[in-house]
Amino acid sequence: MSARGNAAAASPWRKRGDMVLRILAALPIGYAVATLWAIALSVTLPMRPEQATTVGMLVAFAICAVAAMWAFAAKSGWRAVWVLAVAGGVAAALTWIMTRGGGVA
Amino acid sequence: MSDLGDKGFRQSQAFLHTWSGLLLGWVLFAVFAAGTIAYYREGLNRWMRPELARVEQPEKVLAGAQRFLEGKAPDAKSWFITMPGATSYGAQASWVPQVKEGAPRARRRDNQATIDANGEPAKVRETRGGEFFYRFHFDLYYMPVIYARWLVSVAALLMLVAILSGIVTHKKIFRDFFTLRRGKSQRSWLDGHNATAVLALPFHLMITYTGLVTLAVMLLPWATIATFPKEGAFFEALYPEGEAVERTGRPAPLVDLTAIVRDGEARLGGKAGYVEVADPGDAAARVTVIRSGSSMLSSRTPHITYDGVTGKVLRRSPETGAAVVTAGSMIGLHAGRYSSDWLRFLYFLCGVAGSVMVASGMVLWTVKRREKLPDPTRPHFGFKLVERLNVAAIGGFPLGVAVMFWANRLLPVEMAGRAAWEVHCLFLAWGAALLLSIVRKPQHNWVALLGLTGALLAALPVYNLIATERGLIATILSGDGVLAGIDIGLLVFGAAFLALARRVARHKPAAPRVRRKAVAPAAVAPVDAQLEPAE
Repeated sequence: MSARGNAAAASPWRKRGDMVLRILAALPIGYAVATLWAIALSVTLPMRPEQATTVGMLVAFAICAVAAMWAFAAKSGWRAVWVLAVAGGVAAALTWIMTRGGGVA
Repeated sequence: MSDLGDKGFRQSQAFLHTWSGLLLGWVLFAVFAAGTIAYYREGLNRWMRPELARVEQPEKVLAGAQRFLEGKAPDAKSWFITMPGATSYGAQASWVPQVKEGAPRARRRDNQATIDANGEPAKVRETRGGEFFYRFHFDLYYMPVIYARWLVSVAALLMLVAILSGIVTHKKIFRDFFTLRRGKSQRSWLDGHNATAVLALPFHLMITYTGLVTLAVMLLPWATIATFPKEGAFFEALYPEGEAVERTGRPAPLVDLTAIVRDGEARLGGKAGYVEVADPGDAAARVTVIRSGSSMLSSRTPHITYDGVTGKVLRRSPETGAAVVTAGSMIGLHAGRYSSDWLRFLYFLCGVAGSVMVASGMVLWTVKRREKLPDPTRPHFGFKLVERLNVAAIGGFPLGVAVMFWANRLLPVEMAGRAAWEVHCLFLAWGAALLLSIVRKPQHNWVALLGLTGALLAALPVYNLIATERGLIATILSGDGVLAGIDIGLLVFGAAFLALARRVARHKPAAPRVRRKAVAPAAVAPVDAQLEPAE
């Protein structure tokens, strides 16, 4: 990671690209991850569906905020993006597994 | 600037704090300030209608509302009555007429009336009262509410990020809370920002998060997609309604609403907030009593439905689950309707601290950068933009509020569109502040705007004393703490704004300025000389 970090320090265009990636990670990608986790919780939590959905919504804003903090704390913009992509992927997979059996519809 | 990865976690969060705080800070300030004022919206509803006495016997008002609606809209589709309480000026009675084919939909404000403390339809000035601040703090104005709510929500999310990253940035969070270095320019701004932020930190976190929760369903439209794919199904599951009832067409007299409300309050375990009557005057009439948000923490208050002819209980709202109660309590915490007088005051103080936190943060952005400018007399465009927008937004909004209060007092009572013009006055003053900040130097504008705001605010209680029956002496003698409190609050804020204007006028910038001579007279002139903007 440090090699990429140093490269970013070298060229102004790399710097700008890195910043664009971080902003993308913080806002649209962070929002998508939060929504995916809200959906995953709505089908995973052992409560009535409207209750589970509500919990998902309550938690989503915390995920948004932490994602934005991570986007700027990560070693590089790319790292910020792929870690968030994995986090969203886990939620999507969880949702797929839980709804595959047709348990919740 | 972007090689954040090479710096530590704290530096990266300091960067995030600075920019997430600045980006929509101006919107945030207006939202925070208006929301803070809205904690006294019921009091302001009454303050802005000084011709109305306060309610002593709520039941008399309710009976009057029923009498009025039976005379005015006997065959309406439904009636809606906001219950009069000890802090209100009366009841608001509105009705929805039967839908007639081809007839234009009536506007809501044509179908409502104010019932005063004696139970009579009141002749009262048209005003939005404190409700304006409540609506403005998430709907803004002059724009479709859906865009406004998204804009406010994005600002709130940025605020949440700014608070969290601010905590990380802040090394000595508790020690700095006790540090206030006055009269030291940047240090003072920083300490002021820290003190107001840390002092009310739990409040800031709570209010921002719960604010987002109030709009959660709008903000996360896809969160319900897996569990409730059908549109509207989520709400039906959250708030199941009783079966729909057909109008019979057979007339039948309506029960006495005061008796129903008394019974409903006993069964619901708290004061009623609203009464709704469906198909009044029909054999199928139903009366629904909804518990008031002021009597419990959760904003999801229960209700009970009665047969409108026999007065028998038909249905109670089902128990809500734990998660929904949690969400309702978060919204309840945000709105603070449940709070007693002192807790409400604390809410208000925390809101003031939050507004100061946002404002001082925005000013700090410029103060920190001014000293590092290559040439402080000719700052770059971005700096000028922030500096002048700060004046326009932070100096302009309080002025707008003061002007709106004066418009409430001075606009002719019979004026057409009066309520709307009160609000227009706020934005006209705010617009004038923006104009001023474009044409004049920022420091002069701070003095003019703060001074004018202070003078206008402080003069309001004086006007009340002379021109209305509810001046400060009368309200104190009659034990009307709410109105007296608002007048005292106006005096305190007026004095604070004047003191601030005086301070800014005396402030000598550290860096040598080209137009020193223009600043010098302001430094010695008494505050009163500064009250009128020169241009």
